[in-house]
Amino acid sequence: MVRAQRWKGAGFTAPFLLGFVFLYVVPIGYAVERSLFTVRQSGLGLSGGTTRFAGLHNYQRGLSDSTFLGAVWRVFLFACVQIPAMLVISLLLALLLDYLAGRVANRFRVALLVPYMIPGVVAAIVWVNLYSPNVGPLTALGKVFGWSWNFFAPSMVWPSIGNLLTWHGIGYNMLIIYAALQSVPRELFDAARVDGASELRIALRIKVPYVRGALVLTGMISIIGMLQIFNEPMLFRHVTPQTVTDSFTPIMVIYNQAFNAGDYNYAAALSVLLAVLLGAASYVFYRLTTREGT
Amino acid sequence: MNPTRRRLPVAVAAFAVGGLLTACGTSGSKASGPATLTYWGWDQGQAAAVKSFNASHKDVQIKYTKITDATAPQQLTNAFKAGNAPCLMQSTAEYVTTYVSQGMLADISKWIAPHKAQFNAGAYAGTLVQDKVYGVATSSSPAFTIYRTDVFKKYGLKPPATWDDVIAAGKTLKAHGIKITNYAGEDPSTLETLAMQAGAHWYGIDGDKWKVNFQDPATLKAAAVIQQIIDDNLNSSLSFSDYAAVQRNYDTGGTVTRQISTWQMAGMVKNFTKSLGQWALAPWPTFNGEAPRTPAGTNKSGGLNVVTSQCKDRAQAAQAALWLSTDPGAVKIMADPATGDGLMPAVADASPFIDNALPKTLLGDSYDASKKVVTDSFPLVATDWTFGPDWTAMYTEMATGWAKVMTKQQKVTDLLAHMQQWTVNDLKSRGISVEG
Repeated sequence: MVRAQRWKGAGFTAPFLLGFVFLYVVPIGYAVERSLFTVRQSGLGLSGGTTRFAGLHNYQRGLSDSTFLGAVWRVFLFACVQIPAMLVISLLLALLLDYLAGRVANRFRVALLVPYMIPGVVAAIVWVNLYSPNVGPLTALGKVFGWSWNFFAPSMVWPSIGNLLTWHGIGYNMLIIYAALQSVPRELFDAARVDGASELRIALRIKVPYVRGALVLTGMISIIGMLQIFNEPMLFRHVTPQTVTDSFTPIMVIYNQAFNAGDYNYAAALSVLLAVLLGAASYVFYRLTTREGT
Repeated sequence: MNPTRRRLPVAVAAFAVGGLLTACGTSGSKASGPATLTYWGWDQGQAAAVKSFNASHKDVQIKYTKITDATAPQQLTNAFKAGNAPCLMQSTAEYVTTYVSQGMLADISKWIAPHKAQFNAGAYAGTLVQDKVYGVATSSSPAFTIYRTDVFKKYGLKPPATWDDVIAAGKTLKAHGIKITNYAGEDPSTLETLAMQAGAHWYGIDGDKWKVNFQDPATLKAAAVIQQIIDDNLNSSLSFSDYAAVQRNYDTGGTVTRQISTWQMAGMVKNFTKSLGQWALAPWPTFNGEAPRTPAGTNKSGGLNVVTSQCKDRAQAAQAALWLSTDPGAVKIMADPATGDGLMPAVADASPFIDNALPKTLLGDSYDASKKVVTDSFPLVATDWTFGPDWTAMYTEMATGWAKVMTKQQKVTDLLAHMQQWTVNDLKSRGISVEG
């Protein structure tokens, strides 16, 4: 009986498992395999190349590739600023929605989710046009207040991209945090109010600790997403190519190696390296944020 | 000079989809009956030309797929790796050596070389690597200056005959807040075309070795012109990703000359509201005291169809490509801006197509004189330029450095010194013999 039920249960995961194996495990395995080879040409290089086993050579090259490591470091630093900022705003909005409750909250919730419904590339194009010093409305708006800002200036690239990512990501993160808030037992608030706690105090002392798990989750998803950032800098590269180089972020380095330099094997090795790095970063982040246990 | 790049965002999106689609596609049918040639391209008019081919051929049929141009090389490379590359593929001249170095193209000299005389010399040269024919030219690239007649008249200027004239006119215009030209920070093609014109050879073959030279006197001559324009702030620097702004700037007279080919004019006609009829063509500027010479086709104007090495029916593919490039009906479809992209055909005598390719609305009273400028430019194109086997990677690296030149963080000569070292190292790391 129990055994049969187990199989039935497992059966429900089959569609997922199938997709997971074919769309994730197999390609990753293929990338790992490819990363162990290298293509060598000879003479004028006009007769195709020969593929040879290279062992861990591509990995060695990746770990000493200052372009790749520099890109990882650059994005990591950016993540340290943008992700906390985005999560704090998302948290505040979630708290506000929770405080308002009811029909008003529902209306706002949908409105705040709208940016998330827009595909990332489209969002980036929209913002590139908004930012444009030549045709964008923001430059004209700045003039009204006497500001002359240039969103494409080298020093403004990260703030501009950060603003775009924050705008895009707030809705999604807010929703997860808001969902977590909904599961906080309401009696706790009543008890706190009876004890004379202000709404602010309730928010800080009860609500925030309760949604910690959700914050860790959204934080982790954001870190993973951030290290894979590609569309936005790729689009900004067109307006400030002197700042956003072809190797600005790790995925851009990989893209460049595969599709411009034509070195698929090295690109595969870098992809595996990035995946390992991401796994390690997520693990460390998870351990650090949950070490006291909840 | 490269509006195709403004489509990158779309292309990036399409790329993901394209990758999936190509992974599912199958290469030509192997059933008996007529041979089916798969053909990938992106130009307007190809579908109609293919239809006309299929209607007039019984033993060979072409199955055409329209792809995104900005990621075409990546799509071809991916398909090739997956073993299902199309038989025929549209390309631009700059990628041919890269494709050959990856073993992706078939040598079709046997079928095409006898027809050399049917082609424009510059366009034909773009299909060669080491004297072997790897493609059939589809478009030639007449090159010239387009300038604002009203602005030039107002300030008593003549269309610049030499690069020195360009700089001199630029200085005059600068005093009135007008820029002579636009250099996009992401697009180093200005450096490439001027170097080509000056007679540079960034890549050359010397026996069994590549010879890399980014610092020969010809390139330095080109670099000096560009450096002076930048140093004196004679250029605007609008990015093509801000395409609306680029066109508006020309339309409102912020920047008043461009060095272009015929196809860029379509975008001008489409986007201009104020300056239609105020433009005229003049010959491509020469270097002081040198005979006129125009750069070989880059980008859209150096078009050809290549036959891939995975193609089973190479002879048929080569002949089909030859038909597409030379059949009067097919050529007319492709050359007409209404049915095609308005590209100048690669045929030896393209003069019958000039009428259609030049927009009267844009050129106004200068239309007839402009026609002569285009006709005269046909025999002037450089035929001795070689694209290297790592051109794509080199060009990406160069674009990064070019952006720094535009923002005055380095000189053109610094960029060239870097490219020299970078390219030699890159070729070496691929195992290719190189000197320089």
